[in-house]
Amino acid sequence: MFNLATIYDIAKEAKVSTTTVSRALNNHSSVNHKTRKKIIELAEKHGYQPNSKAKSLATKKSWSLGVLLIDDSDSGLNHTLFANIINSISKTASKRGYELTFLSKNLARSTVSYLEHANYRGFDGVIVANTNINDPHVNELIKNVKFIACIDQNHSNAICVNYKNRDGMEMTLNHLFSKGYRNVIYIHGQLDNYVTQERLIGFKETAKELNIERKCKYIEGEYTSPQKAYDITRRIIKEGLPDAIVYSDDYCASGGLRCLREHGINVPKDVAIMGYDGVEISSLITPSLTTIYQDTDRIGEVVTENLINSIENNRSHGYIIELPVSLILGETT
Amino acid sequence: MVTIYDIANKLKLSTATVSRALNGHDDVKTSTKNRILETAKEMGYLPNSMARSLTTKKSWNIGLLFSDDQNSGFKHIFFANVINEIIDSAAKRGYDVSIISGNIGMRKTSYLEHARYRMLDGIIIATIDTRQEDVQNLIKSDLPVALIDQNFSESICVNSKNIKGIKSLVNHLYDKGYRKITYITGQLDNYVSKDRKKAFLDITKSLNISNLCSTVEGVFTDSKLAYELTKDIMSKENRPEAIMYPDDTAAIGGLKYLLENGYSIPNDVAICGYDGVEISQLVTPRLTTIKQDIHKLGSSVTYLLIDEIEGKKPSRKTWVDVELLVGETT
Repeated sequence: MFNLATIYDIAKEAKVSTTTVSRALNNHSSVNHKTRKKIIELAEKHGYQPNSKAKSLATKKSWSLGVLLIDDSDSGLNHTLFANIINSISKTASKRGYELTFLSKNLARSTVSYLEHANYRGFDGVIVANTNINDPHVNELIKNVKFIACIDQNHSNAICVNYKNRDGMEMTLNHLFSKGYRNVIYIHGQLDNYVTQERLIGFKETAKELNIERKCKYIEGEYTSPQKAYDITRRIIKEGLPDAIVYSDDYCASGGLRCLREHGINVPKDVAIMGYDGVEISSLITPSLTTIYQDTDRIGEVVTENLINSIENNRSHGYIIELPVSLILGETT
Repeated sequence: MVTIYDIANKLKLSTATVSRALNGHDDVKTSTKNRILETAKEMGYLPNSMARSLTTKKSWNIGLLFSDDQNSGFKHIFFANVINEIIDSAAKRGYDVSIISGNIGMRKTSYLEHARYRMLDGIIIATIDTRQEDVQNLIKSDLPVALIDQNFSESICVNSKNIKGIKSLVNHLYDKGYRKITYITGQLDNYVSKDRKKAFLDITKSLNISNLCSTVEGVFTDSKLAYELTKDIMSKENRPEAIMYPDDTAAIGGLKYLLENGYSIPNDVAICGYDGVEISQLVTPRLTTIKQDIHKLGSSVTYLLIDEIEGKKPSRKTWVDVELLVGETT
């Protein structure tokens, strides 16, 4: 049983206005202590349970955050990196009293836009992760939602919390160069992805500085697709091995490593390889991966705290925060 | 739910005007129409066709309740994969998924209060200590609830065939000639661990190898602990011929210890994981493991809950099959 009483019933019994009751239950400073106490007692006595919809229309605060993780293929939690980030977002939100709701293009029996969906739920704010912001629905969402944060994206209306992707590739290439590797093949992620674009800029600029531009080759792969990495690696083996192969992430590097192994190629003796992310598997496989570590706990914390602070201070302008990455030395280089 | 009346009220216009604007009629002045559309969007108004399928008693929102010892549910690969399926399946039927924590706006609430507050249509419970009073109250309430890998007769339960999984693994090891098997189980206060341990004891008994086999309590997905336990096990006089791990991640931790210390797999010792997640097939040697049907687990628990929410009477107990994946470690 719930909603046995409403604010009207309590107001009547306490002989105050509904505004006063509402303020008392929301801990508003304008209600005097004695009155507040009386109202709270009455509320408890009547089993008053404010329901979130009514409450949010009155106070416009829902204590909930929308998370856009779903793209057309899946919700992204199959990707370890994002699962870890969501974990951190979830813990941080919970500590501050907020709850996460995953947002999709479906509501009831209709297809709605993300924006309509977000407005219907009355989220206090939205976090966009792992989606293509070139999708017009995602773009519409970012442009129109007041408090919105993105991870590894670039949009002027949003709080963007990004890893230093260019630095990551600079570290990668500098490390390989320092180990004597010159011919490098970079199997990067999908080109329509902001992160890929940033990393390619970092890689190419560093290659130029080190004077090895002409010794570097680029192949478009796919994030977290070990099978695709395996196939591309097989092609590379046929066409001739470089000094080093850089994969778009650790899962892909594992797929590539498997392919090299099966062809009797020794890593790092015959060819060096590197991954990216620094997720658990990178240190568990043998040989352990040299990779770039992205702190998922930190990014989840930072994006959530910043979004919540904006909401609670009513500051809706966008800005960018960049988080450092670091090199993890493994056995593959 | 925002209606045309709310919009008309806010803008001090007639409901007729608002209605005409929202339906795209030309006889509304452009500037007025734009104001109306803007306001409608801001207030979260959904057009009639959608509103018809929305009732005030239904929120099209499902709660997901989970936790574990380290409070990091999403970090466990198998689990994250299942949640992925839950979210996708719910979206296909038009439902959102919200994570329940028992914290709303800094007020501690019970899970049931939290669900009521959010007007959730139902809850999926996974990997949480169901002996907690809070969880018990939720299960016993009139709110539709569905559980994964648990055993409550009053609620919808979707279970993976844990017993079959363990028996398949042990039979496979036995067929390959292994007799001395050590099983590192998951935490024993967990329903799944208990079921699997019992299955292990039963099958080794029926194969007449009980006296050669043993169990050790480990922790799910804890690769570091598995590493240490493996070190322990291999340093003893009476080494096993095969080690079974609670899951693939733990198995890979154990594998790391063995490879670093020069053991040949499977010649010196065979190992097995459980779950059949992607990394189990990416390591060298490839893990022999039990593949759980993650897609079916996630989608079944979600669809059955939704059926219950929508007034159909779904079955209370559903079993999801498992598959032995023979790799290179046995």
